[in-house]
Amino acid sequence: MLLSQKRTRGREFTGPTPHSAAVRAKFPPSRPVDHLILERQKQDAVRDEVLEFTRYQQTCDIKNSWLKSSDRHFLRGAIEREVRAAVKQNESDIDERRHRLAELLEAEEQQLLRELEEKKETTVERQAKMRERARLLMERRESERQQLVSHKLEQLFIERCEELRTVQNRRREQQVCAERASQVRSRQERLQQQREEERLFDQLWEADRRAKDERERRRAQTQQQRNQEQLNVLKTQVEEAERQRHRDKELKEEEARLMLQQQETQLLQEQREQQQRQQAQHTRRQQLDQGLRLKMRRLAREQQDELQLDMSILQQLLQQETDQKQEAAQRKAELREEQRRYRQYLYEELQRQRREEQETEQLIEDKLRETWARREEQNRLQREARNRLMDQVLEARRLQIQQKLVLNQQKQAELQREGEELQRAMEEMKLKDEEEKRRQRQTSEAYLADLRAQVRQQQQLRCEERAEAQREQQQGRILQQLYDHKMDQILSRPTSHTTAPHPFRRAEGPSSAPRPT
Amino acid sequence: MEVRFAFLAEWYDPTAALLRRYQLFYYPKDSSVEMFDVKNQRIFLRRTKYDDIHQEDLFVGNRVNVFSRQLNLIEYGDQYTANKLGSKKERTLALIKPDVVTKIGDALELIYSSNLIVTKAKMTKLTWSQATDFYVEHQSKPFFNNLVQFLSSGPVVAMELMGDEAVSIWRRLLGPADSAVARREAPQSVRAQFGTDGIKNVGHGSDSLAAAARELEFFFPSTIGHGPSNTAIYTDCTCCIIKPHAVSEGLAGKILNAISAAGFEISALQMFNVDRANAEEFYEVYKGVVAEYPSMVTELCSGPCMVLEIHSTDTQQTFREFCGPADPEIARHLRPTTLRALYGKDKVKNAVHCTDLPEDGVLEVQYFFKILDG
Repeated sequence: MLLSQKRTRGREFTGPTPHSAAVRAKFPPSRPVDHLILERQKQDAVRDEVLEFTRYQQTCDIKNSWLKSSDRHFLRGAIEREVRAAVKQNESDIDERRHRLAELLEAEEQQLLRELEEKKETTVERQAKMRERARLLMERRESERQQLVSHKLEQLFIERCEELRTVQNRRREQQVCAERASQVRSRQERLQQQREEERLFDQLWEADRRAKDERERRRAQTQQQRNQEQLNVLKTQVEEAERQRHRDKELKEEEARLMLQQQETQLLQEQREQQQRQQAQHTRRQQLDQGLRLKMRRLAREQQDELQLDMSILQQLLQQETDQKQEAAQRKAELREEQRRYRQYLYEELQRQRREEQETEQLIEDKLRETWARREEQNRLQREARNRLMDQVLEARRLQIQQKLVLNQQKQAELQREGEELQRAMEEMKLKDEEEKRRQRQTSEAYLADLRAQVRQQQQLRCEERAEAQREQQQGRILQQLYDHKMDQILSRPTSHTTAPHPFRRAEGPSSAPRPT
Repeated sequence: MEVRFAFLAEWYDPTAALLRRYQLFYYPKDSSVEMFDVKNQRIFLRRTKYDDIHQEDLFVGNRVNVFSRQLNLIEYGDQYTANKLGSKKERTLALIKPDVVTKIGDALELIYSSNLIVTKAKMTKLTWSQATDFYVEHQSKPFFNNLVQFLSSGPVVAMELMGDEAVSIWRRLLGPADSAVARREAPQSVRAQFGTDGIKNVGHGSDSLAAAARELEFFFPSTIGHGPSNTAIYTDCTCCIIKPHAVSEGLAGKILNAISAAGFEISALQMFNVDRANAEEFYEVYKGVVAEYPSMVTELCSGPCMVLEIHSTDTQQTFREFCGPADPEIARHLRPTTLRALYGKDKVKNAVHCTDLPEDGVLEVQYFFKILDG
């Protein structure tokens, strides 16, 4: 109760007495009234601080990067400067070296040229050298002249010395004779050789001609042989074709015969079937007739028997009446009664008999029918067996014929194919023959043309030779004329003994008396 | 089918700063060349007659000049060429020991006369440990210490020889290992002529192809490193270059002999294949001074050249006089005994280059032995 009160009333507390209550003081509010504003202000302050910091950072970054890049620039500039200076230094160094090298080479060249100049000879030396050379030349000429003189002197001596000349003449004559002999001998040898050559050529020509003849003959022979072979082949081909045709005809005939046979067997079968049908009808009829006849006969016999019996009974009755007429009265009633009973009995008997008869008839008929049926069945089985056999035989026959027909057709087709192949082969052969002939003709034409060209060339050669000979003859004649003319001119020239002396003699002439030694 | 040799060649295109690859075809029948650009797949140079190229220059690793393009042959282009040209070519190391380094010219003469080509050469001074490394297979032999001592006692010249059956030819040329035996058995051999005993026996030759490859790798590393350092001293020296035409004509031996005979000391020697850019840089001083500057550059980069550091008193002047005037014609007239008069052909192919300016000697030597070899 207290708890619930407490709970419900919140801040109220009941005192010990009724209506005494106290209220607990309120807590001061946890947040000030303007807390949102304050918070906002705090956030702003923080943001401002961050912004300030970033700005400061950025300025620092810019400063740093600027410092770095300027440092880099300085460095690069310094490096470039130094490199350029080094390159320049190097270039100037090389230039300087080049300059010095050029100077050196120039100086050296100058010196060499000077040396070359110095090596050239002076005029005095040249004169001395020329004089020396002239002296040498004169000496050489002198020695040559000496040699010539001695040679000429020797010639003169030879001319003047008779003995020497005769000896030399003799020697020369001997030499001439020997040369002449050798010339004659060599000419003879040459002639001999020419003759030999001619003979050899003749032999060769003859052998060639013979070989050609032989070749021609052999060619003709082979041609003939080939023709004969061709003929044989053609003949065999014709025969083959004939035989083929014959075989075709035979096959055709056989086919016809087989077809006929087939037709006949078919006809026979049909006839036999008809006959069978007729026979079946006939037996049926016979059966029916016999049944009827038997029935009729039995009925007649039954009627007769009945009548006879009735007659006999009536006679007996009549006899009895006549015999016993005295007792008739007494006994009439009895008799009548008896008669009636008897009649009743008879009637009953008759009825029974009829029934029995009917039964027997029925039995007989049944038996008969049974036997007929059996026989019929037997007959049917036999007939069926026969029919089956017949069918089988006919089928076999038909199959045989069919097979024969197929074989026949195959054979025909084969023959036709063979014929076509033969035809084709013959055509090919014919083409080949034509080709061969054409080629032969071409080669012979070429050979003919060749021979003609040879003949023409030979003629031309001969013509040229003739022309040449003629020209030579003419030239010889002209030369002869010239020769004659010249001879005449020289002969007709006035002779004088004041001929010009030999140039050497002229040179030596006046001062030759003191012969130099 | 016409005989055709195919190679894969590289050319440094200076304008594009690129290595361009070409297939180079050489037709020995009419000595014509054809070039095919591999990258662009088209013909770069149609088949043209070019007489400055010879079949014996064509081997892998050589540089040939085709219409002033320096082509570096890096590979055989087809199996046929490799079979035809590559199979017989062998490389071997020839090491000239300290006792005959002064007679290096005679050794070169012998090498050239037996149809071998010097493709690389370097004068070097081995330290004890390097000598031990080099002769590692003789470590167990009794003479090992003496051998290493001798080998590291002075400068040696290592050379790469190339040619048909180079290994066996160089060994035959050297003769038996002991000079006394050599004098008895093969009096024509180098060891018989110059050697003194089993250790001071003129030279060393690789005994198999595998050993040759290993020893060549020791002196001329193909990948990284420089091998043993050269022996240049860079003071009181002058630079002499035996030009490519003289090297390829086999005159290097005679020239070296002449230099040695004139009393100059060869303190460093190395063969260089100079690129065009380097040649231009080297001849920078001559640009604009002499008219033959372009052809001089072309000549210097047309093949391997042999660079020497010459050491003597007043070297530059005396050696320059010894070389003679730059034009061999003038030299033959005025100084018929000088090098250029004897071996030069014209003003460009004048056998040797020598330092012209007195202070350039050190620079030129430094250029080759410090910058190009360093």
